[in-house]
Amino acid sequence: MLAKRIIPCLDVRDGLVVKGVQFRNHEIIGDIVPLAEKYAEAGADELVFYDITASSDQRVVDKSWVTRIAQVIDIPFCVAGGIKSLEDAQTILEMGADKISINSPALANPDLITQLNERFGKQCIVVGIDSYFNADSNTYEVYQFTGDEKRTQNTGKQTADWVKEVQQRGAGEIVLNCMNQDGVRQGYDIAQLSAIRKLCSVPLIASGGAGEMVHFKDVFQQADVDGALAASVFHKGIIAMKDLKDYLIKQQIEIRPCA
Amino acid sequence: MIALVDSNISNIGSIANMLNFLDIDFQLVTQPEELDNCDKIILPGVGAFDSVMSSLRTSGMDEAINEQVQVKGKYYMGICVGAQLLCQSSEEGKLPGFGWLPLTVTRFDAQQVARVPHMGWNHIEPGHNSALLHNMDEEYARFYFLHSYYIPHDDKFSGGVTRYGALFSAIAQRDNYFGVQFHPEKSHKYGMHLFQNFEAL
Repeated sequence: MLAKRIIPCLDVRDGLVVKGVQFRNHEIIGDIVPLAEKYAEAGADELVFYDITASSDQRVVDKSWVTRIAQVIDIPFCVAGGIKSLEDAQTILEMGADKISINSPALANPDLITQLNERFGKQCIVVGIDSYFNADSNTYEVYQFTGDEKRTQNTGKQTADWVKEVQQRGAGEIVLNCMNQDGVRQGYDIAQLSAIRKLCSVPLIASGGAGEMVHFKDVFQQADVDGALAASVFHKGIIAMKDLKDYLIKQQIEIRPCA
Repeated sequence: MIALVDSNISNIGSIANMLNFLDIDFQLVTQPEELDNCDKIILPGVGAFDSVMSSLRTSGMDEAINEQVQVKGKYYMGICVGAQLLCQSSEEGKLPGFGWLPLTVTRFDAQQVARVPHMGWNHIEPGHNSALLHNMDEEYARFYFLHSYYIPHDDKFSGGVTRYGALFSAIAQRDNYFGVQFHPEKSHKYGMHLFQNFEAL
């Protein structure tokens, strides 16, 4: 059976891995390449690298680290952040990334998803969606520029509508960042992920909220996501990959064992 | 020496990285005559069936590979779309494949499987017979798949089957040629083991 994926996410700023709480107050975790290597060896199924400054401050970012990662790890990895054009995507894929993920640029220009799909095929096109539960209106809303708190803004889009649109345009996978849960380690947003799962016929990856091993079990069993993304629990050593995978296998969840 | 065919539209870097890491002797090849120096051929392919095939046609590689494999009997391993090219045709495209196997590459039926593409780590069912899986631990071995089309399972041409809705050949094989639907270059230590098995043929 197809295994559920455990995906450590490395937020990258200025060539270093950082981690913030609810997208803010970033602290430095370490250098990218040794961390990537460590996770691949530990049994991670895939890695995501988010360049969290790239979309929000509009500069061209040095992506030479992508090549260095491709040289040392032998599991799939995805690069996100600052990919605004076909040329940007091509550069990253040529450097050795398996997938590219777009977020704010897709909101600014939804046709970019269509173009990327036509050029590279849906299998390498991931769309990241930052979704916030607005308790006043009782709706899920899409946010953009979440890498920079001064520029973070509500797009006015409903998450469900955007999820449908990106699939129609050719997204091959969706990463749903549930902002209310991000970095607080209280568990994934099962209610939201379950609702989106019903609308999603491409792989859906849960992001935001992992704090304990049981959170992974819950999100796989209750929201039927294809993968679970997490950062701080891995970076801070709160959960060891092997412990997590052994635990999930005991819970009868299909997982690639750490060999 | 292995010829690693660069058809211009594949993620050749990660395969080269893994072969380098394993100290396997290989040469990047773009021209037909370069195949003469090699005793084995690896053809990676990502993207659409027709775009890989038309790229091979442009360089004359399609005929050259066919001759090396069918006439000279060299070992061939196609990866992903490079595996699908073993077949006669594909539902994805209009161009013919090499046609070494009398099969048609088929699209996953969205009615049968929850999600297309088939993306992620899957295992090969016990009872496989491929030399590429020699000495692998069935319980632990997993490979990274990423595809929307598959080579239908046929006992005569299958070295290992995987089920994702349909039963398909994770490894299609016959005589001196193999096609692996997954990406060994992204499959960590089991991918390395597979490349070593291919080199040892």
